Amino acid sequence: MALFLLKRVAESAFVLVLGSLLCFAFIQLIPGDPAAAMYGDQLQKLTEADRLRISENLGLDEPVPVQYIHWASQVLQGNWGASYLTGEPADEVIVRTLLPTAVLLMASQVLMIGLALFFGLTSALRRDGLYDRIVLAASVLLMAIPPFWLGLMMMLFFSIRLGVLPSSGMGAGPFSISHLILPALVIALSHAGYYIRLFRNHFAASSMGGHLLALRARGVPHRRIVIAHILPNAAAPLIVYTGASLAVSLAGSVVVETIFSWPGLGRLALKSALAHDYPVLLGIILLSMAFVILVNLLASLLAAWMDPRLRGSGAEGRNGQ
Amino acid sequence: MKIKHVIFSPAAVGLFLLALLSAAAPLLAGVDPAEVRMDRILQPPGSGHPLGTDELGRDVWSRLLYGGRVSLAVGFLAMALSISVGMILGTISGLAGGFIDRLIMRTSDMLLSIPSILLMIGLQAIAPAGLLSVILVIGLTGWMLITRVIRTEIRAIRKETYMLAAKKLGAGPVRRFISHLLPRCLPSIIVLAAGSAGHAILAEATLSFLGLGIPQTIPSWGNMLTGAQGYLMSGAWWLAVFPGLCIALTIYFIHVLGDRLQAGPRCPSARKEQNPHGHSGA
Repeated sequence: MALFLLKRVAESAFVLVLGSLLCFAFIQLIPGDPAAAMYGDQLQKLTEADRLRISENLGLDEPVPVQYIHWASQVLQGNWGASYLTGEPADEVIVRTLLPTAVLLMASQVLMIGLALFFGLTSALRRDGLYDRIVLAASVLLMAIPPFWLGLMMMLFFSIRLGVLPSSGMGAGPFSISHLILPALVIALSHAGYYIRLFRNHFAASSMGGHLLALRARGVPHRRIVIAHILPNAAAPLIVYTGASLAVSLAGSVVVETIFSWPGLGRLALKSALAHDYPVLLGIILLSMAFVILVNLLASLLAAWMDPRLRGSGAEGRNGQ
Repeated sequence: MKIKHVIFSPAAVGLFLLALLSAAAPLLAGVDPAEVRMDRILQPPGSGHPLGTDELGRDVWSRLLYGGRVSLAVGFLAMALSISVGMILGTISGLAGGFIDRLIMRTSDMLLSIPSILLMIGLQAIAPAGLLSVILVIGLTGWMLITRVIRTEIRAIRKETYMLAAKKLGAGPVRRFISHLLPRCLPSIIVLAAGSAGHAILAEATLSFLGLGIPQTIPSWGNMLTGAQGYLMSGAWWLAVFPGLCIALTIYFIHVLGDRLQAGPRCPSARKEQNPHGHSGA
């Protein structure tokens, strides 16, 4: 276990370094040079000597690897540059959106896993029956519906036709459930189809085998077989998938937060992309990447702790999506 | 399963019909999709326009047909790009092993760690707007899963004795790839292609809806929905409903077709290790 732990942590760290290299390359690709981005039109008024001094101050005359190390140490110190839009430090702009997104993600994650567990288990137990077929067909349908369109249709139905749920914002209070329902439901439903199928297949696999037949023959009640034998057997891979699904929900939040004007990270990401506010956009990408890597690491460690078979290869439990 | 069971399945026929409608757009549209009629804005379905008109008085039916061309073409080309990159990197990774293998695999892990839509809007923010950059961005961010599956397959067969025999008989790497590796990978490539096409169409629609995809001058199913939310409130439901239905229907058919292909006969080695991480939600 110790060796596995070390290996997985080292792997995650390596992936994180690769990701930071990508982000650094991203900065190099941004149209225009950083000095122009910082000073805007004023740069035109400066003399050649001033411009040289600026690029020296910014470290632009250094070799690229040195620039990378300089940039990475700045990022690690929490120095993410100023937002082009508001002039505030990018990290402050981003931190403000974390709580709303965390609330939305938690709610949608609970809903989605709940749906996947319930429908996955019930249809696996009635394998190939009518119920199973209906659930599978419905989950393929859910997979096909674009999340943003699902959002628009739910808004059309619940907010406009029925007028029962608000269509935008977070509400006046700290957290209003009625504002949370639609966005959370849209994220959950748009990813539930895939996870229902996945969970069903795992439960179906773990509900086969001679030991279950033996238990049944001994007169162990059906409910007990399900709770004490089928569920735990499928638990380890499902934890890994649950970890991976967080990245999927985070991606879904970009679209859903935009549609429902939810003041979170996803909406900020889109706003910064549309306004070419690169420091904020890059900060969001870095942060969510680090978050996803961490969650995947924790999920795979948890799964390996529960199921020793997963410790061997190290191939299991890498992030999905 | 025989090939004709796939070709004549309802999903394949549905997909073919959608493609046919888009291809025949000039014959069926009746009205120029770009024609702006300020005297006929936001007309409901019927009234001389089968599916109504949009906020600029453009015919929704006509834009839907022409938009299908763009959405399907972008989806197909981005899928072809993802498959090509995935096959090349997967083959290199599987054959090379060692450091190159680790580097490619960790790079794909890294790209998978960034929520896909964030990766795409990040790239779109620095890329020049246009059809080509949408195809490139979607295609170049969708190869990771394909690479992993191809790598697994290549690793399963590279040690086989017939591979060794081919090598000893003097077959070069290209020859070995085309006549030995490719045929073995083909079944999974077809299944992966279905998934990838569905992902690409969804990604195009999402990017365009968010205003970071296909420019408004070219109709696509995604960018027809861009302004639809605003008009939803004023009751113009037809702007949002029809393009979304087309996208959902297309992706549904592709998924069903993919499932059908997966259920077909596959070579034993391809079944051994199926990749569990098949989700590509945008």
